[in-house]
Amino acid sequence: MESYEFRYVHGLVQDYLKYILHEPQVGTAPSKASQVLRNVAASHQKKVEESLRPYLDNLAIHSVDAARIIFNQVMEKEFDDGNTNWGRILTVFMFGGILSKKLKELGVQLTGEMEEQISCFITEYIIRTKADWIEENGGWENGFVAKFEEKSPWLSLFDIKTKFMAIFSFFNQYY
Amino acid sequence: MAGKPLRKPAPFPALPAQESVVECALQLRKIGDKLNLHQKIRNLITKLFCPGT
Repeated sequence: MESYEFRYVHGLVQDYLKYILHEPQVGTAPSKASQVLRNVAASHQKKVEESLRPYLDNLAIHSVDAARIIFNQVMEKEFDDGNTNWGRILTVFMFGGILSKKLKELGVQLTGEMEEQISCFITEYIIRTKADWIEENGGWENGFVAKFEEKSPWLSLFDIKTKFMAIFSFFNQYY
Repeated sequence: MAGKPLRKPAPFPALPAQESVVECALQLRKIGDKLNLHQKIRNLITKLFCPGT
């Protein structure tokens, strides 16, 4: 039976892939973690795609099976220095999105079943290798969301300038 | 007399697949670490200037 963690991460991966592939989402509203993931990862997706394009073009990604093998090899290499952080975890999702888009680009008709296979191998990788780290670092809600959600959209240049001037005038009294 | 047909310039040699896998991984690692660092700095700035949030 699938664990709660598996189902949770699977939901995040499915939601992200559908978002990246511009597919309509049905069902319940996305969780907070899904929303933050969409905002942060999707805003960097294009840049990451450009950086990887010269290398991806050398790889034969003509089937979901080939994508799975390449995904696992790349992930193994990315994390083989023993370090994990939330930024790198975001790249796991982004790379999954890139491979899915690449399959489409190469003319593979992604059926629902194939998309499910892709989200499963990404989820399996995260659960198999990153579940402990994620738990130790606050989990998705208290770790990832707390770190990456937009906290202060109102933090404007004016606010920063005002604070700097306050600090400056404070020190000005003594010097 | 027709001249010699122009030879196509040789394309850049493609990286072997294994090398491309390694390059992809290193790029992703760099991007992930940078993203993580940027977020740390953003959070620090937010804490400094908007301690209430």
